[in-house]
Parts: sequence; C-alpha cells; structure tokens
Amino acid sequence: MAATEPLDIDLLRRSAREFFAHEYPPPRIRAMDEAQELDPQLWRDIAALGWLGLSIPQEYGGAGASTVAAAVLMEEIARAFASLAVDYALGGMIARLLSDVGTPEQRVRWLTGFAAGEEILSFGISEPSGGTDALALTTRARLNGDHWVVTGQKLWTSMAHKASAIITVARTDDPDPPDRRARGISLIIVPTGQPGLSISRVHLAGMRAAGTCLCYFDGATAPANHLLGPRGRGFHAMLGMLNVERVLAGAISVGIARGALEDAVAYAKDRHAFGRPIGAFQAIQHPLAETAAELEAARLLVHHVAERIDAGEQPTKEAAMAKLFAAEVAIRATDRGMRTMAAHGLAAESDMQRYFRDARLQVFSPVSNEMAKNIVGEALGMPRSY
Amino acid sequence: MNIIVCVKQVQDPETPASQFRVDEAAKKVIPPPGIPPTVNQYDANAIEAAVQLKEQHGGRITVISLGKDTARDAIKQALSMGCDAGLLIDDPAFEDADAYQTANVLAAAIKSVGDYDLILCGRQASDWDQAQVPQGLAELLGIPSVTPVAGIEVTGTTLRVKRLIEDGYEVLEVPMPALLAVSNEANQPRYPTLKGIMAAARAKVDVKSAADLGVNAVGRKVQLLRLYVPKVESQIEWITGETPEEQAANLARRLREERVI
Repeated sequence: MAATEPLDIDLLRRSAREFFAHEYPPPRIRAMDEAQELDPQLWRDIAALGWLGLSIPQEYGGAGASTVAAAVLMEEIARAFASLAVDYALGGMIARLLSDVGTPEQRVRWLTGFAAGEEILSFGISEPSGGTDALALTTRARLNGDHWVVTGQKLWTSMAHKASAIITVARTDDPDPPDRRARGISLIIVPTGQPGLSISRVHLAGMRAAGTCLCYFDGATAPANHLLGPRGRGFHAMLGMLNVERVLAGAISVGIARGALEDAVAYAKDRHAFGRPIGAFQAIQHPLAETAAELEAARLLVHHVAERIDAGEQPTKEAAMAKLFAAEVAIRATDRGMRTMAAHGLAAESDMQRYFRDARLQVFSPVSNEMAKNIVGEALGMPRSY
Repeated sequence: MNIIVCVKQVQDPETPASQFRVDEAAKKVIPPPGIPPTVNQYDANAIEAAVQLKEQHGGRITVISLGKDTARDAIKQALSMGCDAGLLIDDPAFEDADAYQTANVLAAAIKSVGDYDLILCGRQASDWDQAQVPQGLAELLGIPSVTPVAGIEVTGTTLRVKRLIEDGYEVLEVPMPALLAVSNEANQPRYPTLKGIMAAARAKVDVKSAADLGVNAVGRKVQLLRLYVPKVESQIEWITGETPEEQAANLARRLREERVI
C-alpha cells in the first residue's frame, strides 16, 4: 500500500458537515431520495472538494489519504446521504483497484477523469444467480483478436447507467485445477454505450438514489488492453481491497446509525407527552443511550481496523467484525429511532424512514453478515462453514 | 502580493438560543458543551477574498489570530482554504481584551511578520459585533482603511474597493498598503478541499505570546459593567374591526403608534 498523507481529521469532519448543512440540507437529500437519482451537481461538487480522489495517489490527481480519513469522510457522507456514500465507496474501491493493478496507461486514462468527477466508473461482480458465492459467476469474456467479447449478466452494478465503463468480473479461462475456482477470473474494463451492452435501473426500497442496475452483456466488446491486472488473477486483485471495502461499509453503517440517533434525540427532547418531553421517560431514553454506546463502539472498531490497514496489515477477521457489528448497530439504531418517533418517523417528510430503509442494505452489502460471521468463525480456528 | 488576514474564532452563531449561557458573576459567556467554536463568518469572507487575490495576482497570505489554543483550528481552516502561513497569539493576559487591546496586539503581530501590501479583516465579529478592531488596527499601523467592503480589485499598487453604503455602494481608490474590512456581500467562502486540508496538516502554525511581541495588556478602553441574557417578552394584541378593511386600517394605526411603520 502506498504511503498515506497526513490529514487533520477534525477539519475534514467539520468541513464535510458544513458542506452538507449549507449546500445539501435534508430537504435536498430527501428530494434526491424520492427521485431515486443523485443530482449530477452533487457528484461534481464532491469532485471539486477532492473527495473522489481521496484514495487515488497524488500523481494521478488524487489526495493519497489514509483509510482512517476515508472512514471519517464516509461516516459524514452516510450521515447526510447514505445513497451517496454507497456510490462513493464503490468509486473509492475502483480507484484503489486501478491504483493497485492498473497499467500506467490505465491509471492515466481512468483515474484522472474519475478524480475530477468527469467520468464515472462502475463495477460488476454480482450476478442474478448469486452474489455471496462470487466464484460461481457465469459471465465469460473471450479474447477475439484485439478485443474482448463479454457475455453474461451483472446485477447490483451501482451507477452503471451513468458510467462510461464497467469494470466487469468475468471468467476468461477455465480454472486449473477445476476446484480452484478463483483461477481464470479476470477484470475487463467494458465501455458502456455500445450495442452489446444494455443497462436498466433496479429500484430498491433502500439506498434509492444510489442507482443500482442490471446489465446484460450480449457480445459486448472491450479493447484487449482493457484487461485490468493479470489475466486469470482478477479475483486475487480484488482480495486486497476487501478489507478496505468492509471497513468502509462499517463506516457507512456508523453514519446511518448516527443520523438515526441524532434525529431521535432531537425528537425526544422536543416532543412532549404528559407534560414532559418524551426523552424524560426511561422507555425512550434507555434505548437511545444503548444506541449511543453501540455507535461509539462501532466507530472505534471501524477506526481501529482502518488504522491497522494503514499500518500495512491485512486484518481480515477484524474487518469482517467491523462490517458485521456496525451493520447490526445501524439496524438497531434505526429501529429504536423509528420507535421513538412512531408514526412521525414513517412520514415521507421524516429522514428516519430513509435511515430505516437504507440500513437494511448494510446487512447484506458488500458482503452478507452471515458470510462475515463465516469469516470470523474460520479465523477463530473453526472449520470453514460454507 | 503579501496579504495578512486577521481571523477570530467565535462561538458558533448557530448555537441554539436554549444552549446560550452566561456567567453573570464572572461576566463571561459559557461555551456550550459539544458545540465547537468556529471561524467568524465575516473573517471567512476576508480569507476567501485573500485567496481570490492570490489566485489572480500571486503572493503569500499570512493568517493571524488572537485567541486560545483552540484558535489554532481557525488558522488551520484558513490554511486549508489556501492561506500559506499562520500565527497564533496565545496569551492569557489578552483573554478578555477589548477592541483597543486587540488592535494593539494585532498591530504588533503584523509588524513582526514583515512587509505587507494588504490587510484583510472581517467587518465585525459575530460574538460581540463591535466592528472596532479593523479601523483601530489601521489607525495604529498608520494606513488607510475601508469598511464594509463588498468587492476588491487590484491595479498596480492601487486598490479599487466597492464600499457598502446605506442605499447601494460607492467605489473608492485606495493606495496600498491598506486595510479592508470585508463584508459577506464580497464572496461565498469556499469549502476546504481534501488537498487543502492536507496542506493545512503539513503547515506549521507559529505561536507567540504578548511578551514575544513586546506588548502588554494595558490601556483597556472599555469596562464591561454587566453581562446578561435579556428576557424576551412577547405580547399578543388582537386588532379588531367590523370588516377586513377596518381591521387593516386599525392595524396600520397601531403599527404607526408603535413607530413600526
């Protein structure tokens, strides 16, 4: 991993809060959530702030910041707008992948435009037949002269409808030996806007503005030099990013949980019943206190894992723990928040219903909590359980 | 072009009124827990104006703040927006400085920095709203000053300054070096970029005491007699009338009696 630049975390956190508070206050966020689309200006704005280049090395126009900085910014983005955080996390993952295994030409071609917000890249790994069992993918790419021909389907490809290319995980070679399924999988940068590739939106109940898509590859082509990383080693190239992806997913959950807690506490102070603010009743106060404690623990775990990644470690078990624990904290926090606000929390004008819906995605994305438990269990020395 | 920007860290003006407290005995504002202080908004306009001038004409921007150690955050924010160097004057003797004492120590700090072409301040600070320091500072330094400023252009060694007046603005030509007190009409302060935040992390903030600057906290001009939160009382008066027109006429009469219109 490249050396990271020092950064004033408090200043980053404060400036992110001020940006959202003044430029994208909750009514603007709610409008995007209802429209199920990110305002393109929002993406351009965060590019202008340099956020898209956070993980990109400085020589390609990025900031080369640490995983801790990424976690802090991710929490702040998710606190304001979790749909944006999902897309932002995806972008960061792609940027890391390009930085780690891209050729110099690929880095210049894709990273510079991405960091500037001029180009969006998507990533296609899950398929309609399965996501957790990623190695069972059926999308294939074959080299035909000077170009790849890709056939298959990808599901949950965020921002594909706006992307200029989709980094597509496809089998290019049969595994050898057959039981080593990770072998023979490659990453192909497939340009969009071609007849062999059709993209349609999938509308979810949560993270509605993230813009997830279904992609059909029916003879889609990509130049031969669009192979990202070594042929047949695409899955191995992704492994190095998984811990970062999981810890940042934990940071998104922390952001959602914080939103639910802050809104619930504000409501509990303001709403009166029986002559007192409802926050004066233990039935309201205690669950929120539990959320506060769990939120603090989740954030500390996320930051601890991020620090270890920045120190050059691969804390696979702890990254899975951070993802798992923070997602469950978000679920409990939004449930308690919803109970605090009762029907007011369900109103379309309330942000609580958005947090509640968005938190649901965190349970199974980017890896299911059940798989995260499998990883932790195996790391504890128990037999592989899947 | 060498620019100096004076910034003040203030209590966040968006602090809910319910959390605003004063210690009447000590005659001090009690910082609200959990709400960090912030850069005075007019000072953020001054920082933005300085950075824009640097972008247009090149040069160097030095940020100076008189305050506690926490004011380092205000300087860091200015650095993250594009300023180059920071100087914090941290001295408990100046904790409750009045406008004259503040201007006096800032003048000494500016002299310690060296040559300058332009000094930018916010038109006033949102905590005490006195709008005294900028002009006092210019007087002590013996340079011309303009306040409140809504626009700045530089031509050679002359400034062309748009100054706000009651019903519009006037344009003044001012020779440099000069001091301008910037108003919010001048610009929209930028948000720090990631690279700016990183540059701020690398930048060193010098810290000096009053003794380092050769000044002391004497010559106070203002005595604070009492500090308290005024009680706000509201009364409702129903305006009656047989018809809407009569109600409107009665309302207008009452407003005139109260000298509202």
